[in-house]
Amino acid sequence: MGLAIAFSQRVRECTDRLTAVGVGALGALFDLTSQRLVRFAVTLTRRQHDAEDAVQTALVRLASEPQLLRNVQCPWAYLLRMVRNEALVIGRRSQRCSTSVNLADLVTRCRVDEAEREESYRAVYSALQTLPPEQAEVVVLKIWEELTFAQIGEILEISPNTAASRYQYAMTKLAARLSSVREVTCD
Amino acid sequence: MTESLGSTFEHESIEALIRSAKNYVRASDDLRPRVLETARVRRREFQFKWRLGLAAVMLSSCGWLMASVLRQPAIESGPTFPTVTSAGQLVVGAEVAAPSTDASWQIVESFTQLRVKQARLLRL
Repeated sequence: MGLAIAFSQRVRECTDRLTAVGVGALGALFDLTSQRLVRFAVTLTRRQHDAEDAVQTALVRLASEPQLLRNVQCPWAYLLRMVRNEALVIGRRSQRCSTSVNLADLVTRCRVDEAEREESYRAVYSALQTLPPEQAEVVVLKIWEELTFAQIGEILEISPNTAASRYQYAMTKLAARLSSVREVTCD
Repeated sequence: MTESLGSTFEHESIEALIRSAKNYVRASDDLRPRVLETARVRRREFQFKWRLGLAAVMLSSCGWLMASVLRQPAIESGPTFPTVTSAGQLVVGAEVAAPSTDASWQIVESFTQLRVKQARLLRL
């Protein structure tokens, strides 16, 4: 949780600079948040290209209207919500064309010493993409962003109890889908 | 109780598995330049529109100021004589006053009356 607070603080520093300096400070904010934002958006859009479009739209909007952050208590939560809104809009538009899940579309990175774990990473992403987006996003925010259910509730505009319940449902499904992978990893 | 503990352990191990995959997906290499370039272009567009708006406001203010300055001496100089533009009004007045019913004679009479009025104005 401490890491999450430290990260949130760093995002605030970047957004403060963005408000003061303007577009010149966008690079630092991008470097700090882009990977997290893209992986969050991927769980909603299920496509790398759409996820990046959502991140791009949100960051560009923030750079052109830095005053959006002036009265924001937690800029990181606000940024996540902006990306989520964009991802949902893009996701809805894309779903009309296709609903297929394609992992080959994702831009991935796997260190040499982690090569043997790549299969389990892919299994995790496949399993996440089989979940309903409203459950997948709770899992991502809880496990990858280390947010509390109260914070997740604020971002997704749901109650903490609903967030917790979605998380429980998602974990039950994931446990069933990832059981084989877990056994291999444990061995 | 045992089932609950087993479930908690299961969730924890699944969480650990998911957590290990968090850095697997990343942004593509061209996203950074794309975002920065788009933001710069958007900023330039915004600045251009802002300057254009400012220029429009300044121009309209200048125009209004000039108009009010030019109107000032005309008001102060008192009553003025009718100008050439009032000839149109004279023509209309002459047409109404023409007693003849023949169209061609009406034009002649109107024109004559106009000339008379213009001559009277010139004498003033």
